[in-house]
Amino acid sequence: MLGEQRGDAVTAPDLDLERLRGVLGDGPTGSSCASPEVIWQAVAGRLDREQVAALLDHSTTCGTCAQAWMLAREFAVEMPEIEAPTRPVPAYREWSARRTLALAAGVVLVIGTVLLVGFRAGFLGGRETRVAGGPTASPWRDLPVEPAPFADPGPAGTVWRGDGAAVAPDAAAELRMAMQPYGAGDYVEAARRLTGLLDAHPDLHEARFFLGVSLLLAGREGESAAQLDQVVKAGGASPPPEHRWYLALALLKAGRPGDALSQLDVIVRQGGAFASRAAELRAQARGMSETGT
Amino acid sequence: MSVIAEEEGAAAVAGIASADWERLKGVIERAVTRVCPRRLTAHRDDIVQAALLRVLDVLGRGEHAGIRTSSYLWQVAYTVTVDELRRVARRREVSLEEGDVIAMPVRRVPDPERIAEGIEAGEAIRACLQALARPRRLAVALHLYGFAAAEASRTLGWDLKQVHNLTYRGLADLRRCLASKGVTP
Repeated sequence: MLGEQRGDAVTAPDLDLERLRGVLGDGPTGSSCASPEVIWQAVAGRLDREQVAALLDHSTTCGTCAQAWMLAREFAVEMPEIEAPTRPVPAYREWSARRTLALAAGVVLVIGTVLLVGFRAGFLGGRETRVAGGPTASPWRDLPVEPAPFADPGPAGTVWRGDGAAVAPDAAAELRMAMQPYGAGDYVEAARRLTGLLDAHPDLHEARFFLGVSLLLAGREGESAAQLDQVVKAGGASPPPEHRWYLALALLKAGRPGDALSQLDVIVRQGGAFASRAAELRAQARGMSETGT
Repeated sequence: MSVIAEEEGAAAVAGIASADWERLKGVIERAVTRVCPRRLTAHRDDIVQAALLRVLDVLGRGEHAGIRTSSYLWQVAYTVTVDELRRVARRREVSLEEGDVIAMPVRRVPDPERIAEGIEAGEAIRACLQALARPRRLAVALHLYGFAAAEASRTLGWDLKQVHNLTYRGLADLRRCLASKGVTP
């Protein structure tokens, strides 16, 4: 008997899976292994299909990557889903006035959130999806996102600021360095480096765009939308459609379909490379709004 | 000064109260203890220390916001464990290439015939996996890594039924291929 399919399990009685796992994990270490952070992102469902497929392909020839996948799965299963946040707080937290202020801020935040959700529900005719456990959980969270291509300008290339001026060659070189993890699919590290770069060069338009995309690919949609919104606004009357496209994706994934639809409307109206994709996504988003799914 | 005292000193510099540091440390220790592979048991303390140093590094850069949840700490524990796995594997491979004798407890020295069998089986499995059609290979790989069909469906972004079919057919192909190479799966 080759195997059976039952419910969620696929069994293959003739295959000693434990032995196969052990042998696969003992294989030679390949070259160009992805960082563990990238495998973690893949298991968390934060990479697009082709990236996951490439990582898995590599793992079938590399013992330590095979082990990294097995381990990532075990961590994902063992990790407590709901555990009290472990946030290091300042040592002077005992100060009661500070606690009172924090409590007051919390109350304001809750009231603000309730008002905001109420406003948005009204704006969308009360049809925006809300999932138990989170007022703005988005049905678009699993929408696959392709990384925006980064055209490395090379040592003699030019990188532009938001106002159209060329940036200093050292900043351009720093951008290339910061984008290395992006090229390797390590978006968490790319976001970290780009944030550092933007601290020193806040006008580096391209860096902010790729920071927004990196955050989006790393599953930090809210932060991504904030960065991409700045990029679009800095682009004046007609920012590149690519910038609006990624902003729309971030807004959708962050549970803000109304704002995303506004951006998609503009992309469709302006035409260009993203117009047909934007029209398709807009139709889906409207369909979901109408059916309440 | 001991490593622990150094860590605690660094934690104080990073502005973390002792109780919070203990809680943070506890989460990492629990994560490593629960999931550390058997082959790294002897390295468990090193992994915990390395994970704590990484967290301190993040705190030292003032990125407190990154350390908000236990899931972040679990991710750090995972990352450090994989780094250690790779380091141990590299060291073993270099030692074997250079012909060094690896010190192992006497009772755990495996039979050379079994080692040869294992290497042969590993090569056969990898060759057979490569021979599978790509979608089947990906589904089977996740199955071998312990992913349930629903988990694989989420990771690959494929329909659950599709994952079931691909895994089932892929495992059948794998079995046939291994049998043709004389490897008893």
